[in-house]
Amino acid sequence: MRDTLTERLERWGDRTAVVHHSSRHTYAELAGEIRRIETLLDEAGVKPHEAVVLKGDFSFSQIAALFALYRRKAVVVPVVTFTETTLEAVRDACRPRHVVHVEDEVTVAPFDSPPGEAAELYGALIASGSAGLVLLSSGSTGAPKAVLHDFDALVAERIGTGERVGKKPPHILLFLLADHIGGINSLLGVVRGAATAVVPAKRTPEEICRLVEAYGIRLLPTSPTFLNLILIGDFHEKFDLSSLRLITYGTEPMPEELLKRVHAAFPRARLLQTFGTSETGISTTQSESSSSTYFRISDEGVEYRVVDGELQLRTRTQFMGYLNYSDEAVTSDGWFRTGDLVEENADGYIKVKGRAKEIINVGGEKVLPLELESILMGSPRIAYCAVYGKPNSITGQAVHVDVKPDGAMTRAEVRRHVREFLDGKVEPFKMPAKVTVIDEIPVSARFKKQRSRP
Amino acid sequence: MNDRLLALIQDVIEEVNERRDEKIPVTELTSLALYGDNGVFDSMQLVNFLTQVEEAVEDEYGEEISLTSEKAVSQRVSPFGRVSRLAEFIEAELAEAGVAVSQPV
Repeated sequence: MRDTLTERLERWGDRTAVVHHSSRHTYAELAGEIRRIETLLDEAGVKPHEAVVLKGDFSFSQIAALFALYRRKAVVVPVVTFTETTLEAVRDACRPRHVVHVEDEVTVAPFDSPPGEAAELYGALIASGSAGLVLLSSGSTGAPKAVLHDFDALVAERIGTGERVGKKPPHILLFLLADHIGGINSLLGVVRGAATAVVPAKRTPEEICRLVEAYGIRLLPTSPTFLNLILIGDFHEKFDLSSLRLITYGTEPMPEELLKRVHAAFPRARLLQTFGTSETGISTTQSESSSSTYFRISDEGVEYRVVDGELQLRTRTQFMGYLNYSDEAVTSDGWFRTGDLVEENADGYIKVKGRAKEIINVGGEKVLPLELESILMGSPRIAYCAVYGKPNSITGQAVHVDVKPDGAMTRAEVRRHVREFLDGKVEPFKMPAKVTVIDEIPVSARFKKQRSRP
Repeated sequence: MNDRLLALIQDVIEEVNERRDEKIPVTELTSLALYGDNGVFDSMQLVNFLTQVEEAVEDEYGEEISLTSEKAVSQRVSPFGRVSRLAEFIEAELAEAGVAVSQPV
């Protein structure tokens, strides 16, 4: 597979592989850059199955370095931005020996981490002769989990099954970040189809819409929260986005009413729920329809089951384990517990109702934020809302909601509107105790909704 | 007893009444039992009511106080027994935060 990959890149020669800051790079150039970086890695003494941090977001050099590290069988740890927490987690969990910087020119420098034999951590990779990939999965609390993958297995699953090369290379927007499973998945999809990766300079709704218009992009992989930011800013009207044929949304559940708004704004695009986790990889899915949040996992490499309302997966691209956490999220028979609560309909489609850890417990009654958010998004006067639980000493938790109204409304008007809008639609215990009006929409680095934490 | 606080509580009760079939009488407000024996609220309604009072206090005095804290719940005399006790508790909380109820901001 290692040689097949570079042979393919060379064969595609003059096709454009990467567009970044309006400079274009061909597949032949990419193959050349991969070889050049491999030499740099050799000169720096990078050994197979040793962890190497790859610092920076997608760019021509970053993509080349990723494949060079794969070819050299390194354990790649892509990191877009270092915070103190991620730096510490990477150092202690992955024990990297080198760091590759790609921001200006490509350099390979030693990385100071505690001593220890790579074999202890990466023995399974040595046994299978595979490259590794470590993704940091940002939990809401504690240190990020370091998720170890067999990089060979991911590459084989995505591009090992033959080429899908059309005459005219489609432009694919690398919207998701380089250290995210969805970003890696998009990139492998680009290489599979000999497509052109368009790397955004920044990931604002305006910039993304500008790129869609400029490159006639057909596929936009994104998240519900980001789609809502496009709608709230009216960017779908400021730019010509008629080239979009498929909008995929993932990383968090989609509120039904928001999906209706997206569908109305993009009537010609098919809307598809994607589903994946850092631990299991991205699964191929089919949405019941463009206006339905029900979807089916239709992927040969993926088995799923629902246990006590929770979705469990077993996939060919399943992770090998956490480097810094116990594997209690994996059942003894090898299923990964996603933590996502789902509902199955009669036709075998499933729908994500929320995360198990987001359940709000009001005096013993359970409330899922997504249910309320979905209903509230049905109000034309609400542009955005986030529901969360806040502890109190009487009922354990109470339901709180942050609302950004559509248009000018006073705090009192918003509070009254929320209560009137929900009245009769939900059980009394689900009625938000507190309504807070917000101006700015908080979005996580992964473009997910950020619900306030107690 | 602070009249401003009583008026504030009465406003909240009237707002609650709008969505309630069995209206809460406000004629003898100070002795109205909120929770417990003869109380007009169950625990969930109480939390919602108290949160609305917190919001109203914040609007009026610019100070965020908690009426559902461990402190509120563990008072020797429950602030949820009668409206007058709740008003006293709010007044004490505001005083602790350096806000005099007679001088709204």
